[in-house]
Amino acid sequence: MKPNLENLNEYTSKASLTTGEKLNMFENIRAYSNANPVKSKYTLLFKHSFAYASMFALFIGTSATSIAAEDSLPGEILYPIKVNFNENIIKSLSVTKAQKAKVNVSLVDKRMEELTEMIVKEKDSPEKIDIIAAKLEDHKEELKEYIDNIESSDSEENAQAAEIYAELESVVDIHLDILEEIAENEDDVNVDTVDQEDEIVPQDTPITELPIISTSSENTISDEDIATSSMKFEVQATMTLSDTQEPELKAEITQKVPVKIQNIEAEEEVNAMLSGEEDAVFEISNFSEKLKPIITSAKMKSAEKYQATSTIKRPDIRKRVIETAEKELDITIEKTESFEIKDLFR
Amino acid sequence: MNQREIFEQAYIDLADQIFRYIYFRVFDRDIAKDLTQETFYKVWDYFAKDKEIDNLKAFTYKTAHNIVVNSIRNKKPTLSIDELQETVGFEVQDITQEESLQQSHDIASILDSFKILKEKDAEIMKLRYVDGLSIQEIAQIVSSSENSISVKIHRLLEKLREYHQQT
Repeated sequence: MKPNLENLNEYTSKASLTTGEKLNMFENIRAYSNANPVKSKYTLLFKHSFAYASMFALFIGTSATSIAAEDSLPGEILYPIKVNFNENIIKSLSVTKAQKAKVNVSLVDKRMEELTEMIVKEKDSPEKIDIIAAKLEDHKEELKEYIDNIESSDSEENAQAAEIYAELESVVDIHLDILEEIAENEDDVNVDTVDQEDEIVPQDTPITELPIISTSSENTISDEDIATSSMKFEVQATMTLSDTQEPELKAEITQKVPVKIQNIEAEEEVNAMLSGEEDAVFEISNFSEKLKPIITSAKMKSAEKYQATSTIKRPDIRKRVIETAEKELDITIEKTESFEIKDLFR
Repeated sequence: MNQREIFEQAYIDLADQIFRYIYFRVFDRDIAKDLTQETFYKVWDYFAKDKEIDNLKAFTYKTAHNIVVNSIRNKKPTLSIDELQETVGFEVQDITQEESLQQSHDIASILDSFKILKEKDAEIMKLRYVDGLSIQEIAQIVSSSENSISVKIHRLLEKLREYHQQT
């Protein structure tokens, strides 16, 4: 029989796979289907449900903790989570050096906010302030590194460096203002609290340490009046007391006077800077110096709540100062346990 | 029957038919084997996505068609009589070598005559006479009605007959 269209299939159907080929192919196909199992719409949803559920729970738990940690202060349980976990994540999310530097500026902002909050809530202690000071130092070091990097690179990033400086400067200034205001208010409320000026000369403090502390007054604008008034008093006291020729008191005063002279010089410098006579470029190194007094004073204030030590509290000296003042200024001073020097000028 | 059993049964039922379908379009036994396997992989992929398949046979043919179209897109397959003879007369013992060769020539000339038809029409004729599928099955594969397929086949047969009478 000859193949034609009608019986063509009889011939073509002879074209087939051999049994061996068929089996071989069957093995391949089975292997393939095993490697790619059926993904049912339902199994897909429930197969890993436990894994998804635990991941979800972990995620919720972690984020809840880290959100709660955001409001924590030094000394609290969640504070290490805030500074070590949350902030490291924020740092790792920033890519460029400029971004990293900006993150550090925002962290400086945070630290100072914490400091303010602590003081306002009266939760401060020297140890806690130390924690913040150490952190601030870390941020500063990191920031310095990035800024140095940025400045040594091309001009486009250089512009960003200036921006970051400006940001840091405003952040620091704002917080310093707030902290000073708080300090001032505190002084008004707690008359019994020894004035910051009195802390300048703690008993038995070596004179070499004094300038560092005295800078607190040069930067504190609100304390300027107090500083000036106390200086007037010091100068007058020096003049009068030198006449009295009392050796012990004279020694005490001469110890004070150099400090005050330095104070005046420093103040002149600050005034010159403010009036633009000197180059007032904000530097990273300045930043540290700017922060130092406020941290020192905050720390000292805090320390004072635990143990109050001040030269002016020494009864014998206080008595003589009051007596001299009464004699020279012709006024009467109430002999309270402690008094404000500025009370003399009321 | 679960998905895997349905699929494996389909392979047992359809492997030869799909192989034949592909072979008479690429005319190369080895390529046809590879493409047959690929066809069943593709069908399983569909199973693995847990999708509904209305007509598994038609679906497998359609898949094979797509794979063939993709594989021969770049080079036109050429029909070799020797190759055809080897494949078609493979297990036939009761005919001589000469008869087998003659048969292969006849088959080749019939397949060659399909070239006068449009590509889609030639495909329908091949499905009907080479693959031996029913009108209903062809209608499912080419997504048309049985009626229009049978009318079309009738007309195409006339056309081929005219062509054969001319030659």
